[in-house]
Amino acid sequence: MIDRLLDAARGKVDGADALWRREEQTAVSFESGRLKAAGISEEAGLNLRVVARGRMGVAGTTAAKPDPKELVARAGASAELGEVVDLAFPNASPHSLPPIPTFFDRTANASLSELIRMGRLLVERLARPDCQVNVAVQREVADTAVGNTAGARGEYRTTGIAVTADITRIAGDDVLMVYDQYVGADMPSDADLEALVRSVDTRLTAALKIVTPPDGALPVVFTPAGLAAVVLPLEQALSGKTVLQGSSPLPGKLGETLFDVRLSIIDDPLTPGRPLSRPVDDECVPSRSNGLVERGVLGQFVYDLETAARAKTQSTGNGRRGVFGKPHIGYTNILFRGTNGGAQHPAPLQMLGGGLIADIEDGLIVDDLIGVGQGNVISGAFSHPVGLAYRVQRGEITGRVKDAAVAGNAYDLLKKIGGFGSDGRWLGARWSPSLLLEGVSVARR
Amino acid sequence: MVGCYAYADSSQVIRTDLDNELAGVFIHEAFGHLSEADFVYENPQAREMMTLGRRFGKQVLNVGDNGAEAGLRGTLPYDDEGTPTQDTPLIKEGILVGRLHSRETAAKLGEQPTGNARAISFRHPPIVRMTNTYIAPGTKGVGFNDLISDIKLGVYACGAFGGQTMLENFSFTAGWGYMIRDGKVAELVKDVVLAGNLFQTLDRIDHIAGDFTWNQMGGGCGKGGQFPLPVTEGAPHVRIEEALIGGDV
Repeated sequence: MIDRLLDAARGKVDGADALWRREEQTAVSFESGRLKAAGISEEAGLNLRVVARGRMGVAGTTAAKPDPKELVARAGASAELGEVVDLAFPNASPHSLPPIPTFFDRTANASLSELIRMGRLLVERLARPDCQVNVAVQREVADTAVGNTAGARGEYRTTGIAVTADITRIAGDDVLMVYDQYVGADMPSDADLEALVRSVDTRLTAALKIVTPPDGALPVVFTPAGLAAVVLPLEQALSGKTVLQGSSPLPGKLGETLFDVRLSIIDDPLTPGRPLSRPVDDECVPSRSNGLVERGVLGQFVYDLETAARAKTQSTGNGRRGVFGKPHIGYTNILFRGTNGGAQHPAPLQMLGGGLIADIEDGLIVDDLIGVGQGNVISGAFSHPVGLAYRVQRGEITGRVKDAAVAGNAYDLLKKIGGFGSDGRWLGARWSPSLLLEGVSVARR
Repeated sequence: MVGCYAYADSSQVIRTDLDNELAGVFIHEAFGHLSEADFVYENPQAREMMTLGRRFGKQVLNVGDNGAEAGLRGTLPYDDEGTPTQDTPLIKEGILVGRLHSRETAAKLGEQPTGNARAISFRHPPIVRMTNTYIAPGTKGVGFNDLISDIKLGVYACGAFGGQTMLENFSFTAGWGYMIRDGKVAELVKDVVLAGNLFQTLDRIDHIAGDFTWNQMGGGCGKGGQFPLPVTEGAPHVRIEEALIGGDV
């Protein structure tokens, strides 16, 4: 289909690239312990981008039998009103694509009843008196083909499975919500599911006792889940688009040591077994690992073809596109790594705080914040009520805190990291350990 | 300073005025999601917490959801299960009087469907959602200046970046704000994020102005993986006796 489409575009436009993707999703969900829904959905679509007389145009279709000529005509019409851009379509041969396992038979072949059985097992393992348990299992199998008029081609198959579990416990007027997930390209092992149960259980048990929150500038351990507010500003500021727009605070600082020298942040589409890993991006650029921050030094920004052309640099292989709309910048797998920065007191994987709390006299473990992503995120400033947080006193967790808010600036807090936890894990597309950050503002009502 | 940088202290519990836009987001997060019956219909503890007749606010507080109000983003003649939309009172003079239903939740609880079953597209099932949620206007003729005239020190929080709820606790983020000093609007402040608690914040609304407006913002509401659902919020200026504004030391 891609070849027919690109053939139809040749001669009509200066250049073109296209993506075809077919996705099949199988989803089961349990609500309050009961199987609520199970279903299968399939969708396929084609996205075409052209450059005609120096202007960019796009068109997409989910038609079962798309007409290449019609799609080219629509993309051409879009280009008449499109932005002027000097796009360079890559011409790598398919042989140069990195080999990367993205497809797991076990995941693709898992039957609906197997997925239901897995969900039911979790529901049973997580059942508690007076608690509502919701579990969802979603499996995806996708085929992707990309190509362009410069001769580059890429084709690959992916699998992905997400298992999420959440518990809501209401006691009087107290609402406690605990959540965790397994996300991978391969099926979770029994040990993975057991780890999910233990994780939810550990955090629920530690939250049963409510204690008064502290206040002031305090040491705070952000768990991998709690780290979102600190990570989000960096993800926005490291995007080539915000650099071009002038909204990122980081341009002109490449090569400078901006963060703790033990911190490295990598965008890695080549990690085996992750659902977002792929050999080639959605614009035919071969995948590669990108060191965004290396030992505290700002390494590079991420670009797709369009932003790279405007910034007069190369795409980093971060082009992503859907069936409709033009390609845009997208991260793949983000890894937060510490060098020689492990916890002073190595802890079992499921222990809250990742071994970082032993020396904390008074502080917090933050596992979930409310309202992350709302506000002036790229400035680095964040201020959020806690969704799930624990007080630490004299090196021990003393209970859950409520009606407290934490605030700080992500760029400042990451300059000096108090410690990297020994609990590194994947959470969606991000791998990180817990981080101990010093001097985080904690306010209480 | 981050949360509210006019202060030298991180912990600010302060009298706060919300403009119409932020007051709308506030009621959506603080109360709208709690009144969606799929949260309570299979949860006896949640039902008890949300017992009809329970007091949630002072007498001045009236809240509802109206999918039948003409010309708004959340307006529909019928919901996605074919139930006609309506004006559903949720809080009347501070007392919980209603909740939002799909056919399923209404049947389970022995109540009437309210026309609030909505799906974002054909890819999703209809679930209980808000439409146009509002805080009803207070006394006619009472305006913003009447609300702040006796505030010695406070914050006037304006505009909205959004909000999020974990049911009991929620956040709502102002676009910008001003200090209120001696009954007057003073200097501009930024990054005003308010931390709310369902059982405390609603009850601390002590004055509501008469200057009601619907706020047709872009974006939408997200729930159960269905985003962005078009909704509208409406409110007059609202005064909260005390609110926690997080800040950086």
